[in-house]
Amino acid sequence: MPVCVNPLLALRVVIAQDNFVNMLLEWSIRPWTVWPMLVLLCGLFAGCDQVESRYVYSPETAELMPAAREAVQASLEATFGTPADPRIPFFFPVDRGGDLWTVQDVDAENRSQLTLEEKGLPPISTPAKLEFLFDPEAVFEVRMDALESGSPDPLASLGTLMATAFDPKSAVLSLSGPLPEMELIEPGLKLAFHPNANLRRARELYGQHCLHCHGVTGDGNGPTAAFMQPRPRDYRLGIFKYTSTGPQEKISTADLKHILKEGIPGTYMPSFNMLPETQLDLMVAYVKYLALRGETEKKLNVELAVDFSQKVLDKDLADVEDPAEQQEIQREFEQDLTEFLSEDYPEIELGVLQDLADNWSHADAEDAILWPSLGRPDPRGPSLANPELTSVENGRQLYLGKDAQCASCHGDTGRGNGYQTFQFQKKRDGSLYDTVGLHDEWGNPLPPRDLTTGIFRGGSRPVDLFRRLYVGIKGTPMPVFGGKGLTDAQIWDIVNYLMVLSEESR
Amino acid sequence: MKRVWWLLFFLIWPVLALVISVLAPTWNWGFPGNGRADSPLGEDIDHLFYVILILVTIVFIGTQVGLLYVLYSASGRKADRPAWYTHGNHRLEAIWTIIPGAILLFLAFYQMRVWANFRIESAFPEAARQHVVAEVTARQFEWRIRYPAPGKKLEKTPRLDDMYDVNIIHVPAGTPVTIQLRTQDVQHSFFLPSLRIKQDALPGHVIPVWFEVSQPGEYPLVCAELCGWGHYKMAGKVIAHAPEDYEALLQRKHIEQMDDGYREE
Amino acid sequence: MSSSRSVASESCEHVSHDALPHDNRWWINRYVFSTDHKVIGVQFLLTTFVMLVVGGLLALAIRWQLAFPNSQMPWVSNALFAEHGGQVSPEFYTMLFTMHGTVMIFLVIIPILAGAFGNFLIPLMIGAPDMAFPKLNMMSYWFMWPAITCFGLSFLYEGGPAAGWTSYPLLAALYDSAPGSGFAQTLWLLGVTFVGISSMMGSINYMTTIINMRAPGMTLFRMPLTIWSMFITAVLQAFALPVLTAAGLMLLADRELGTCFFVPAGVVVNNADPTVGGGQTLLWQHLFWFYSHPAVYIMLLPAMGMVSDMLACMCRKPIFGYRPMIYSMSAIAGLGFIVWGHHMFISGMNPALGMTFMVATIMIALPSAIKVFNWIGTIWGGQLEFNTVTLNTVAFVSMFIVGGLSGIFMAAVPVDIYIHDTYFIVAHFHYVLFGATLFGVFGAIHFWYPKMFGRMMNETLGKVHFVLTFIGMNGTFFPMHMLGIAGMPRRYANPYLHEYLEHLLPLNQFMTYAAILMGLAQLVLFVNFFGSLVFGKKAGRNPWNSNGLEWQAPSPPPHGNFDAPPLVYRGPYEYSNPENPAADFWPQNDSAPRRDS
Repeated sequence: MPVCVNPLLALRVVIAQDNFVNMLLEWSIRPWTVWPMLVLLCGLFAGCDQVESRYVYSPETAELMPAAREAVQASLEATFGTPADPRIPFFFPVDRGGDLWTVQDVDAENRSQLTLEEKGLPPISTPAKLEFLFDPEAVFEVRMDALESGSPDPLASLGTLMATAFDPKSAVLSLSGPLPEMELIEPGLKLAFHPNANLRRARELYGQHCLHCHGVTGDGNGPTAAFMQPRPRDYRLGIFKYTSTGPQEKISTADLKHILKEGIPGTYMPSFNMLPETQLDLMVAYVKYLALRGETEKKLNVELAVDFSQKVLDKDLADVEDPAEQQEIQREFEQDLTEFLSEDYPEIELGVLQDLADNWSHADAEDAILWPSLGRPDPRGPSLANPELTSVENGRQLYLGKDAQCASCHGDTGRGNGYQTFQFQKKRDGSLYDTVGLHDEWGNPLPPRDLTTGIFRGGSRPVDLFRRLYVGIKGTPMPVFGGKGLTDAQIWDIVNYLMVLSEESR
Repeated sequence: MKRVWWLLFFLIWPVLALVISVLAPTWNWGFPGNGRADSPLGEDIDHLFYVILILVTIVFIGTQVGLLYVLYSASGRKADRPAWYTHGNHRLEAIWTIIPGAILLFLAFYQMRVWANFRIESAFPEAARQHVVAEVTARQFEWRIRYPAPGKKLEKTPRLDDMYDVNIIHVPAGTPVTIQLRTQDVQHSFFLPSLRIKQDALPGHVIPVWFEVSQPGEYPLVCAELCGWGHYKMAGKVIAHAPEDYEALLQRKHIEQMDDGYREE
Repeated sequence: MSSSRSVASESCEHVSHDALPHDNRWWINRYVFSTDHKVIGVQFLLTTFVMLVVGGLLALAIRWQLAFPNSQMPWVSNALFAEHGGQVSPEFYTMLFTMHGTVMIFLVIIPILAGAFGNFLIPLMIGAPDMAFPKLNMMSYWFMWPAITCFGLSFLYEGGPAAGWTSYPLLAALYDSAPGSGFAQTLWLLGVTFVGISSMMGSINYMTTIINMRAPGMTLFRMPLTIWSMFITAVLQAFALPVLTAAGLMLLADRELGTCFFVPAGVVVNNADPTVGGGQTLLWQHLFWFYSHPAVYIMLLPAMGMVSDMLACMCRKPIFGYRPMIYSMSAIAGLGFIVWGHHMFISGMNPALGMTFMVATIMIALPSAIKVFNWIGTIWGGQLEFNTVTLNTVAFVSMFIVGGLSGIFMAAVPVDIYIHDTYFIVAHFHYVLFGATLFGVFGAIHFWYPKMFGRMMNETLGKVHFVLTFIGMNGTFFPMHMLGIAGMPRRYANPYLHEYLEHLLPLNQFMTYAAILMGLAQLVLFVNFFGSLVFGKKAGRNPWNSNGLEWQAPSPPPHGNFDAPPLVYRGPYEYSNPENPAADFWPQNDSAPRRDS
């Protein structure tokens, strides 16, 4: 057998004539052993390349015109990064990590150096990624000015800037390149090193504990999700069901952590209270990050879909038969879109981000949390709302009565079989759902809770039940009763009735 | 290869196995924690384990040495010396039937007491029967715990003032306690490695399990019966408190459980 | 050395040569849809080779996950989880160990022992031209294929069955209880039923053949131990299998017809409505283990028999304690029927039963011990050479000692409380099934290969395979004892979530490397096996100078096996008999009269 056919033949010359090795080689150089082995080895390595993790975009994004779709995708990627490199703007209420420092002075001559305020912070390990925390509106102004004057984006060079060295004595920070000439970079400006470091660690934890149900994108579509009833939460609407915050508020950070710790009984969401607090905080941050990313996508879609979805174009073209005219309409449509994207879209994008940041920030404020204005009365004592009856009895009458209409869904005996569950329900757009019974915002069938099992998904403390009635369950047909429909005293009566009901039905 | 290499081969691996087994605890490949069971019953189980381990090690060494010796002599037999023509030996057969048989029977009966103590209800310690601290309900994939209100007895069905926990079981240390083990869905198994306790949770059954934690502290709880995709996720722990701390904790939990959220200004 | 004596074919004139059917059929009927026991045996052997590769790859995937949890798995991540960032889902892992167990037990070990070697050896060793029911025999092979199809298809539904090879209800009984409990589980049950039918046909055939078709002079106590072990196995199978089949059908009925044999009332899985119930999950465990514990011996006894024959031949010495060997095998089989409860000590069955099962289980160690002592006695004073067959059989004995001794821990109920369902049990049954049975099988492959194909297997490659497999096997399975003692439960996709198991990661990684070595070693076996078909040295009728009847037939034996039906004059272990000084072996059909008893 010629050497060129078989590389192992060369080996044989090198190795001495040891009988054992010789025999081995004798057998291993036969073409019918070598070539299958080579094919096998190639196959072994072929399977070893790493799969890249990607975010998926919502179906609504896919319905946009290509240019609009690309704009949304570009915004999302610029703002939130990729699964391998997650990031989020600093003004969002997400604990994204990183060390915060303040600029004291900018060296006017050497633009590659900065002096920092010394506040006894730990030394910076260099090289480090860094991010200037500009006021987003100011940045927007600078960008738009540059765009109008046709000059390049002055902030572009900041994206790749790294801190190369830091001298703790003089507090001078050296940069990998010069800072651009601009007013924004001034003393007092905040500076973050290793921004988003927490998110990257959180992503690992998310991958380990959450991903196989909630999916890479947080769309509730991981590999295991298909088998679950109810389906895992899709974070992208930014809606979470069980909150301690008021009816119009987002979920608070504390609520998310509470859910991670307690789990949701009656669903596949388990408790993660065995994990250390720090890990739970990171996971909460990542969930918020995914929710914010999804909600941003949704809001941008809403802005664009009104005028620039494929549907709108199809509608415009529907009645026109002349192909030339059709082309004309399509050209105009695309021109409008281009104009919109360059002139209006950046502002809309900024607005969406700021609104979201405000909403989510407010959920963590003191006054966002709902507390009852009254204490809970004794179930067998007189009702505060109707002192002639006991609290439970009044609760029962309210449950069955017209004001609260609990029984219409949960049924007269509380078994979750009210008449509404036998009717076709309307969607948001007025059409009917395909399946009978109630549905949630995500379009999944949602049977009303059986109140006799004693399992309350949002928690079984009196205050939890009070909040469920007052705030409702967000994203579901469970309405807001507090403030308008029922007084706090009446809500307590219903709570008492439910607690007794769940005990006595068993 | 030469005969001596093969003899070495069959010598080295049992030696290696023994050395690794002896050294394993120093590399923390032995019993979890510091290697000592954290419950009296666990100590009994460890004792039985070591009794068997010693017996088995003796047999292992004996048989492997025997095997090695016969290999040595048989492989070294000269070609002109025919093998020993024998169909066996009745006395030898009787010896190696009766002696191991007696040892094995002894082993079997030596185990009975600990087993009865762990599982047979009439042999439970009296304190364990008195002290039913919680109902543990396994579900995919967590442990749900229900305690009776302070001073009350655990009822079969939940009461309004019951207290709840998930994955964490609080118990008093130094006294036998019983939990009622249930499952809400498929089979699970309640496994406390450092206490050497294990019991399957059977659908449709409530099984009492007693254990005694020697010292206050935290002890891992895991699931040991395949219960679906998240089997490995069913982590929990038993937290043992000094008796007075335990009472205080129950009081605290009770207040928390009955919280109606009303805060007077 | 070769026999100077004439082999006893001329002494059988009273059976007409023409009585043997001549095989001049179409090649498809000869090699594919053949009723010849040798072809069927080889078919079983090759099928199990393919399944061994499948089961081995599943095992490597398991090991990968345990060594590198949350990382990407080669091939698998690309093929199945690309859209999920390449991360393997936990239910995929549950499928892996379920199918690894299923494939290895039902499609590798049982068919390679009873199917391949049972088929090939029984008629040859008892001097029969073929099996008693050749067509039934063919059917028993072809019923493997519906089973393989069912198991193969089950991968396509929800990623494959995921309730473990034991398929405990409720996981296996309710469609909703977990991913993999859906139609995949139904297919799994059908597959097991087909395997059962196949084994049943085989075992009826073996019993009939061994009882009725022995050559003249082949009394029961002149049968080689291989035949005895096959006979006992067949009996075990015939009595235990109906129970499994019935249990399987009951579970199928639970799943598909809504009967509730195994489903108690009020169970809520996956937020579905509570079950109606009336059943008992423990019932399945009783029925399943009533079959599956004897099945453990079905997976071991034939290997014990074959190893006894090989050892005697390799040591040129009669087997030590022939009758005690038979009695202990029978005792294992008998006791094997009353020890199933030791799988259920902590299942919640009546704790008093635990005590009885413990005594029975500990006592089953006794016949096993007797066998080990007798094997050592067989080597004692023998004259052996370290060839591949010897090495594998000695490894069998050595590994069986470990597997047997670790079983005592499990048999002792209090200790079992702790080690039940930990890696200790995984170590135990891999030492018995891989360490013992597969080494026995590897030895048997090398030993009987010349009879199957007329050529010798390569010694060097055989030794390389042995050494690599032995090292890989011990490297993989010995540390499992430690994992078990450290409290690592079985079937965990990611044990390191638990703080008290975190430090076991490096050990698990070591085991994975050992497992990869072991997997690669099997390539050497396949190269040797298939290469020797072409390049192997030509073997004569009796390359090992063995006494068994099979060695008196041509290699490979023609249709009908023997030149003339043999007559048997003595037992199979007359090696180095001083009354026969001309040679150190004395074939069973050698007509030279015995001078005394």
